[in-house]
Amino acid sequence: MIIREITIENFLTLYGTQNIKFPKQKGASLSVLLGPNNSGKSSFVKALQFLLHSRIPGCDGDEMLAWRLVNNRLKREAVAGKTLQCRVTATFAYGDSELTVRRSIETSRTGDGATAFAPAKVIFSHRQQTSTSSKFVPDETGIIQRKVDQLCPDTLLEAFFFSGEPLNGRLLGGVKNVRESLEEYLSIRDWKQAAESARTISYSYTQEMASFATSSRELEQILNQEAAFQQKVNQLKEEMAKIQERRDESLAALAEKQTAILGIASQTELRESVVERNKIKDEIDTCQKKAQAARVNICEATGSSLGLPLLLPYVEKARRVLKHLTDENILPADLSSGFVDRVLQQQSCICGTKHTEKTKSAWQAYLKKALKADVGTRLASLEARLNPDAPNCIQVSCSEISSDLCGFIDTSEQCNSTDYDLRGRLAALDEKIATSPTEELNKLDKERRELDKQCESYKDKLRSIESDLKANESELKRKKAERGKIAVPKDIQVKIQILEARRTMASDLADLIDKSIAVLRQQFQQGLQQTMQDLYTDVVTDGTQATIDLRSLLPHVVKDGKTETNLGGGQSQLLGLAYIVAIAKLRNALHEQMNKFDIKLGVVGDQSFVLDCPFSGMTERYASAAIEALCRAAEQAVFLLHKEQWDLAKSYLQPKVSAAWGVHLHAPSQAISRGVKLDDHVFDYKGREVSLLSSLPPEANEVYSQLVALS
Amino acid sequence: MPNQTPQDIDLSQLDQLKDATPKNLWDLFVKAVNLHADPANVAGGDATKQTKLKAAIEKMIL
Repeated sequence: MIIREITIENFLTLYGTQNIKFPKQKGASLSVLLGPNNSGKSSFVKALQFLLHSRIPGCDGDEMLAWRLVNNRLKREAVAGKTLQCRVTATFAYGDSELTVRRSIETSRTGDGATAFAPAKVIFSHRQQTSTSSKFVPDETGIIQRKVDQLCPDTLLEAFFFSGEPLNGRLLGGVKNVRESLEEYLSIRDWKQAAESARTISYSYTQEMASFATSSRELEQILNQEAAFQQKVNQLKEEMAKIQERRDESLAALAEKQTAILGIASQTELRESVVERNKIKDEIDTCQKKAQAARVNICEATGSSLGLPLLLPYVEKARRVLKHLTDENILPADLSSGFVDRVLQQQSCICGTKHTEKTKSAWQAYLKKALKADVGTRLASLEARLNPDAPNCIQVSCSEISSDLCGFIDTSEQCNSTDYDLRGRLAALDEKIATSPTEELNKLDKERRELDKQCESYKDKLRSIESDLKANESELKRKKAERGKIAVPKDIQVKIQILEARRTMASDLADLIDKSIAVLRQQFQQGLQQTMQDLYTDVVTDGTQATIDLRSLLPHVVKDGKTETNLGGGQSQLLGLAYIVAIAKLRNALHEQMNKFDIKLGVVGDQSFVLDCPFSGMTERYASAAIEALCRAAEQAVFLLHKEQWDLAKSYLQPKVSAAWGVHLHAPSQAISRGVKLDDHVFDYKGREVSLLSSLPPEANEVYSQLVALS
Repeated sequence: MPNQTPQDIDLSQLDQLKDATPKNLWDLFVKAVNLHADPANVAGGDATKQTKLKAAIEKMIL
């Protein structure tokens, strides 16, 4: 979303009504707000944070204390009983739409003291336009706040409207934070909620089915059991997804830790050990995967053999019995309906007694029931499989099964033995690294070991849940098969069939959403990698490249194939800037491209960036690269700069700036002599000197600011 | 001044998933994610979303 206009009234140091209209233009719009230190540039960022997500600095989240945000001069001027109001109003553009929102604070003076104010009331409203008028309406349903959350999630607020801190210390510091933020940002959280809904609905259909089954106690019992298994399956799937997520998080944090360890170890003789240890860890993972695949193969080979090898000792005996039956003509080789016909044409039955009506009807029944199952063909096929010369004889099949099983067992044992050796080497390296004299390395390594343990424990949990899930799914299948055998009235059967189809649909839907989330994440990661390349690698000239860790989604810098772990302030700031621009840009692309699937993630449009002193710690080279990256990718960027940063970036920024304002500071003379450097307030803007400081008489206690247009 | 290149994101895997999914299930998926992401459903909360989704499932099958 792009800021079109913002009006700030009596908020923090900004006194009176301050209004900024940003220029509408095609392509990137770069604006600057220049001001001395402590003039209130940050109030601009805080105003946006307050407006969008009710961030109330210094009040511990207590809205009643929000009167503290009201401008001090206004508070001092107010007499007891006077109502005070401070508010921030802004119009944002997203796609072809606009949204105007306002958050205001109302309070009143209750006495003379500096803190004598009534509990504040914070109201969030939006502009409602009719054909004849426009008015601000409170957002009672929360729909507008939800819209704002979609446009700019709270978790990414500090990335897009950040106030001066180095980005890597805030946004990029926490794997969990980044993953969670992106989840909200990409609407994955909504998708997860949809999958949960689908599972709840699937279970509700199962319960509904059970309510129809009162006509048969047996049916009712089976349906109740089905419902219980279905619920268990749903619970296990949800639990599995949660643990998988936690494991991914821990693995991402582990990857981060390993990179940091490598960074420190590079300066010591332990580098080789750390590299070796990481290599061994990867080998152990590969080995475990191979062993797991072998175990799965063993299970599959055993299952698909249908217990054939267990029949081997009885093959000879069975062959003898069949031969005897055939020789004695008790069991003709072509046992079929023709055989029964022949028996019935005889005077006597095959047991020698004369046929009666009873024996004849027994043979008729046999013809109907037993021979329907094509016993003759089956017995013939069994006889063929017992023949040692036949290509598909049981002995040959058994020997193939046994050879496959031996192969899989060998692989599994080999993997176990390799795993044991690797773990021995890993333990030795762990010990060597743990006794390193570097305190920071020890600390990081300890944390790494904890994370490693955590990952292993998640892995074990996942394995156990998976086997539980399989068992419950197969029980559910068995119960469904059992239910099919129960005779139920037709109308009930139809109702149950409909509900069952709905249940399957709901449960397939939940699985499809889960799969789509995984696909979405993966494709976003790949896109991020590509975009970082455009925004970082192509603008720096030192041969370093930005890359994205696919697990943590965090950026790294690589040079000559090795991760650069000791980044300077400017380089890491540029990396952070490129990263936030990249995720904003990609999100917009993702939302647009989802339209072709008819998936509406909401129009978000381009993202605006408000950057308070973004060039901290940067040399001129990195500052110019950062401006270049923003020009390439950002539709709107507002720089809030004090003199030092303006002087650093001026030659690159000034030609690109489309609008400029100054934050004019009014301070009593004693405050100026105390805290404000005099040479800080004169800015050179497009060849003219602009002073942004006015001295007030000593009796004026309050420092306040107002905006002035420079262009 | 600006060098605004339209960003692209490769969604071929999602395309493949769509191709491998029966049409009615895919349509239901689209409905489900759209109604969960729609800010207009905030007021009703989860119960409203579930009721709407259940109605969509019923409609798909009938």
